[in-house]
Amino acid sequence: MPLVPLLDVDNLHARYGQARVLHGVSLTVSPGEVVVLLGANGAGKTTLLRAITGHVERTGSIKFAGTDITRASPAAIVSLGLVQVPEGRGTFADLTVQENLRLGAYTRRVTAAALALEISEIVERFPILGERAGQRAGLLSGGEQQMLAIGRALLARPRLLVLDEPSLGLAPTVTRAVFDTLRELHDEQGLSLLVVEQNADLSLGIADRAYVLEAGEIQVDGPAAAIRDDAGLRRAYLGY
Amino acid sequence: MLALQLLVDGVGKGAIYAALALAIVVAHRSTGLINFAQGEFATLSAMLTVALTGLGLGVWPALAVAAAASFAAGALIQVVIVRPAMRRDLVPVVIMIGLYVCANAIGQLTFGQNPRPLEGLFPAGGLVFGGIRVQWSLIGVILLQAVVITALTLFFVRTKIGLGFRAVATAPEASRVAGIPVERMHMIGWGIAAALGAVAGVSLTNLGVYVESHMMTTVLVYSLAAVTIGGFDSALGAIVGGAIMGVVESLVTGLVPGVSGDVGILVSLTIIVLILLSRPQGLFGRERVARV
Repeated sequence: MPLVPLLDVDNLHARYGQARVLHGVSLTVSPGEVVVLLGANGAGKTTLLRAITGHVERTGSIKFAGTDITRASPAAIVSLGLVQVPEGRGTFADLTVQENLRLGAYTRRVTAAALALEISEIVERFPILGERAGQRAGLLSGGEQQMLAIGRALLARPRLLVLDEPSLGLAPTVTRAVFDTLRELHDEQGLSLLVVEQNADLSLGIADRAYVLEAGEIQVDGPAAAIRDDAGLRRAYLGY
Repeated sequence: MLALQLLVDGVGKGAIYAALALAIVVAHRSTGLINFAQGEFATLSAMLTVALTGLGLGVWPALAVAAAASFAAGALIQVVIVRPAMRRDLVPVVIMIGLYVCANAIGQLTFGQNPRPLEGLFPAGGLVFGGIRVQWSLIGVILLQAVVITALTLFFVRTKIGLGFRAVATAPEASRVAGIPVERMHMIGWGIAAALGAVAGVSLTNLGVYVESHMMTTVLVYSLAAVTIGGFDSALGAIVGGAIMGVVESLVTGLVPGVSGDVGILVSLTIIVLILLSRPQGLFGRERVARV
C-alpha cells in the first residue's frame, strides 16, 4: 500500500451562506505527486481549493501531513506548508515586487539575512522579478504576476502547492512557461502540486493523477494518462 | 511681521492636526472606516494623563503610560465593537457616531466639567529673533510630532508587521491567502491610531489649551479636513494637509478682520471644497494602478 497521503480530504462539504457547493468530496495527494482537478465552470473547483486552505465554511475531514486542519485558520494552514496561489494570482498591486516576495515568508520565523538569500534564489529562477524588484507589482504583466505569485508562494516553504487556474488570462506561450516552471519545481524539489485548470490538455500533461469535479461531487478519478486517452470521458466532462 | 508670527504659530497647530490626521489615516487604512471618535479618544488620553500626573507621575512618564493604555483601548474597541459591526453596510457609520458620543460622555462623567491645565512637557520661555517669539513648547510640540511620525514611518516601511499591515490595507483577501493574520492587523491599526491620538491630545495642552471634554472638537474638524485634502490613504497627505490647515487657520483668523475662532472652520471647509473639485482623490491620494 502507498505512503500515507500528504493531503487527505474525506467527505468534505462546503457552503457559502445558504448555498451548498460541495457535497462530500474525497481526494488525496501523495508526497511528490502532481494532481490536477478538472471540471466545468461552477463545478466547485475554486471552492474546493478555498475549503482546503481554510477560507470557506466546511465540514468533513481534511488532514495535511497527519495534522487535522479541518478547523485550522488560513495562517496556520500556510505555516504547515499547504500554500495556495489563488485565482487572479493574489499579488499585492500597491506593494513592490520585493515586498511581495518578503510577504511570502510572513508565517515563518526567518532572519532578514536568510530571507534575502532565499529571495535571491527565487530571483535566479525568475530573473524578471530581480529586474522589477523595486516596481509596484500592479505594473507587471499577467505572466510576470503569475511568476511573482508562484515565487511568493515558494517563500512560504510549501510541501504542497495549490494553484487555481494558473493559465487564466495568459497567452499560450506564457502559459506553457508557467507549466514548465511547475514541472521543474516538481522534478527538482519533489514539490507536490494540486492544480485546478481549464486547460485540461496541458495540465493532464504534467499530472500523475486527475479528478473531475461536477456539481460539487467527484465524478471521475484516475491516472492522468488514462483520462487523457479516454475519448468518451473527455467529451462528457472536459469538452474537447 | 505679524504674518510671520502667525505662520510660526500655525505650524505648531498644524503639527497636531497632522498627528491626529495620521491617526485617522492609520485606522482608515486598517479597517476602511473613518473614526469620528478619534479626537474624543485623544481627549480621554489627555484626561488620563492629567489623572496620572495627579497621582504623582511626571508628565513624560504619564504620557507614555497614557499612550500605552490608549493603544490597548483602541485595539480592544476594534475587536469588541468595530469588528462585529464591519460585516454590515452602513452600520459602521452609526457605530462611529456612537463611539463619538460615548467617548465624549465618558470624558464628562469621569473628568467633570471643569477644564484643567496639564503640566508642560517642555521648559517655559522661548526664543525671540527679529521680533518673532517662539516658545520652547511650540518647538517641542513640532519636534515631538516629527519624531513620532518618523518612528511610525520606519515601523511601516522597515518591520515585518509594518509590511503585513500595508499588505492587509491594500489587499485583505490576498493577505489571508498569504497567511497574514488580517484581524490582528486591524487591531494593531486601531491601537496605533489611539496612541498617536494620545500624543496629539497631550501636545495640544502644550499650546495653552486646557484639558476638558471638548478640547479636540475643532482639532478633529481640521484634522478631517487635512485628511480630506491629503487623501484618506496617504500618510504623507495627512501630514502636509495638517500643516496646511494649521497655517491657513492661523493666518485667516489672525489677518482677516471679523474672522475669529470657529468662523475659521468655514474657511477651511471652503478650501476643502476647492481642492476636491480639482483633485477628488486628494492631493496625495493616488489612483490605483492595475494591469491585467
